[in-house]
Amino acid sequence: MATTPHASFLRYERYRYLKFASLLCLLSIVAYWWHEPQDGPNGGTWLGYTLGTIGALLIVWLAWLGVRKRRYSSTLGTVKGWLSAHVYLGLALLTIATLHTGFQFGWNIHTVAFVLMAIVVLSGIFGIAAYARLPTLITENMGDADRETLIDEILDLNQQSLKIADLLGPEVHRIISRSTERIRIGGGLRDQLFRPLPQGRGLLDELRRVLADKQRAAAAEAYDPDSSSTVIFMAGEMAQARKSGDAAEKARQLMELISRRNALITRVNRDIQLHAQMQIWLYFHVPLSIALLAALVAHIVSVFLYW
Amino acid sequence: MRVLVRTFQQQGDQRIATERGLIAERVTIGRGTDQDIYTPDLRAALAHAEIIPDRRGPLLVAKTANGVWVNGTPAQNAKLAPGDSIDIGRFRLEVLGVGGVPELILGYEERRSQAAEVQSRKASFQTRLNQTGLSLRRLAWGLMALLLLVGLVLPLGMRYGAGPAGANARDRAVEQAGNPVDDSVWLSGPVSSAHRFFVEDCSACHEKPFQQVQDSACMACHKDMKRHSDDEALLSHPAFAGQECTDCHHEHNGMDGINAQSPTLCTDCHADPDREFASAKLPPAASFASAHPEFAPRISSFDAKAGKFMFAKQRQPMAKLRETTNLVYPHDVHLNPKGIDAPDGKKTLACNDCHQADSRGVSFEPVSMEKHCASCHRLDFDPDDPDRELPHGRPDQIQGVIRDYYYAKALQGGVRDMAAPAVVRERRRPGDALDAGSTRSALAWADARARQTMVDTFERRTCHYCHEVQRTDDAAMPWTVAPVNLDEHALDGARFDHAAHRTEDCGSCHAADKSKASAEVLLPELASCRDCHGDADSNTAVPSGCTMCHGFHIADSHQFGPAKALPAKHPKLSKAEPAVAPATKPVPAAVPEKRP
Repeated sequence: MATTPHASFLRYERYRYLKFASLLCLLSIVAYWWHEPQDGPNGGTWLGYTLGTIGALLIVWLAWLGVRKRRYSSTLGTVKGWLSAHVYLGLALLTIATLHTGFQFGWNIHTVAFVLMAIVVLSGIFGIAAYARLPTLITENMGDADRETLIDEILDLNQQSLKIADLLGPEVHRIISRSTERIRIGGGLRDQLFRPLPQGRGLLDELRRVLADKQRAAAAEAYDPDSSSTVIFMAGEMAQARKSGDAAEKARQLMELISRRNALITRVNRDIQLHAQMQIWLYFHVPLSIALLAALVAHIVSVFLYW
Repeated sequence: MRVLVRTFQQQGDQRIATERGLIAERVTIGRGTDQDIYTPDLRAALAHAEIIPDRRGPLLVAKTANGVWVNGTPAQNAKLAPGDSIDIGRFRLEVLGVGGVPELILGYEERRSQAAEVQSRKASFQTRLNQTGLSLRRLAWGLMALLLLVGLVLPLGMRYGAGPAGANARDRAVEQAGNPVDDSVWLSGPVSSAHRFFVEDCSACHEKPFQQVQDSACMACHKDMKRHSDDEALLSHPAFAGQECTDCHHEHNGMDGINAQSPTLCTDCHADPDREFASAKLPPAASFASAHPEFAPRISSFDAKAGKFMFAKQRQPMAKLRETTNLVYPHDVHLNPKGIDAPDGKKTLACNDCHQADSRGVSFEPVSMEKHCASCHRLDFDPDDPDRELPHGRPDQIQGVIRDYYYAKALQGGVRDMAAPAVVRERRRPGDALDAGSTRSALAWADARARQTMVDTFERRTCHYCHEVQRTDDAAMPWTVAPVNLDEHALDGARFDHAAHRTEDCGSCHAADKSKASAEVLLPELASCRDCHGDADSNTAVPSGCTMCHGFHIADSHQFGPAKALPAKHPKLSKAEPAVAPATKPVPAAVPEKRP
């Protein structure tokens, strides 16, 4: 983790903020352990108010990262330093806020604020893990290529395979034509996060029928219902085309194009998936942070309104 | 079939239409150059589709198994109606008219160039999360608005809007309970069971916004709450002067009441009372298990001159303590397991034959002569008439009762006593008058007999058995019987609930079966409590905080409430003089005395 450049903010200034946050947690825990309020630990003792104040200030400051990172001209520390502190103090917040509750929970706005805080911190932890792990995988998957170029290439390969398929007869053209229409890159939230679904059954059934028509029962039996379907179909097609050398050559070319295209689709979809996984935590972290600020205001107002 | 094909082309800003007519059995559509309508898109089949006349109108028939996209859905054949659009690759055919002359008018347009088509295809891919309808901003603002509404605006509206009406907290709480919109999301924890009946009415305790709960809110119901001491000198000490209910009582901490359980509330002062409260002369108490003063029972002594009992706390081992009860009562004799002689044979006594629990089970009904002693300790005085008994507890009447008894007997005659004069012995008819001499002699006998019986009763038998009897010179009342103290509440500083200890044998705390004299104090030592009871945080003994036995609100008269103006520094405190009477000095009893 520490070897990737993405994780280096964690080691900022020789773990300066890790040390600071650990000290803060340690002091809080010792104080909590030492403090024996008359009616059990809760947010209303002097230590409870102290931890609550520290926690609230931390939340506001942690949320301020969203502002600070947009102020490119700011000289108040580097964004890297802020991020390092953000991570470690955010983790410390989990300890401090938990001690602030005195482990008293209920169905109320106070516990809602705590739960929101916990989800925000946990999503942040997921974010750190994602930033530590996924960039390596993205680089492994994509190499020097970029996604736009690969998509251009996929569409280009579609055109080329259609041209060749046209020469192999209307039935082959039809199958390839449908296949080019049905390629799936990216998609909805679920598709992006958990890989695109394999091609629909309609196409598979039709391919089977075509294969039966052409009396290639054997090929139809071995047919694998996966995105590589076109490739397998082409293998059968090639076997028949071997009679005429030209047709065989064309079929081989077509198969090569389609398998290259499918490999590219897999790579692009993998890239989309990795990027989605690297960003999804933000969709919890950021909106719930804002929700947390609202819950925090409600918590503080209600507690002091009904002091 | 006659068909008009209207070809649209975009030239600069203008859309130009050119028309051509077709007359054919069928209109062929496809990528093949021989087709009537030529759609040079690689995705189209050479012969892609045909339009044939049908009796219901023109019918589109797909020539490829992939189908043709009609109005956005793939179809194998479709009856064409005006407004239908047919997509073949990047070409679009639109049905402009049907059923007239010509039978079919088709619009034909290349929607976009091949390059644009590729770009549009590319743009249709959703490759980023923010293209899936997720928006950080919308989510953030939406959640923020929701939480502010539910967590702040609605409850605030409850507080400052038209709140529930009602004369008291209970009425308002009932009114509010019927309201589906409430501010219970603000409740910081469960309210104690005693306060639940008005939990919906927050303002019952939280009188003013942004102000801590005041004593006045508590005192609205708890009117008579006493302070810790009656000594104003002590109460002016800072520890008490600014004291508020909420210093010890915290609400919203659970069902089990709001009484503070922490012993430190007491031991902060009582661990070393001399540091701040030397004048109170209190023994230090820091922990029940290890640092608690020995019991100091209230011990009675008798002031014979005044005829009154005096009481003083004495902190000594119980075995050494002796109190004065003015009663002769050896517990060991009465509890003899072999039984004791009773008028109707041997009788074995148990503790609860005399000590009967009171209705709450906390303590005991007073022992009474009539209920508990009289069945054995008969008050008869004349062997000839064993059912005739003396009144108990009225020594002043005894002389009269005994004299009257013997006067009547002497005057009636028929007494079987050889030493008595004849007039007393002889039987007479009722109504027979006696002469003065006989009467004098009969009454003289009766006087002597009564005197003898009284000496017996007071000094040898009946009274003497249990009481301290004194002979006097007063002819009207020749003997006095000292008053008796049967007071059982000897430990004033603490509560003790006998019912809670019902499963214990009496003898495990009170060594009554070995006690030879009523002067012995049969209270248990502190150590015997410690057999079971430990500190408040004990894991191995009954956790026993101070408040298990002791109360805080123990003043006799001083109440909480509008504070009396006390000097900031009470003169008594600064001089550290005894603020209360020294505990060891006997003080006259306020308890009603019991007489024999």
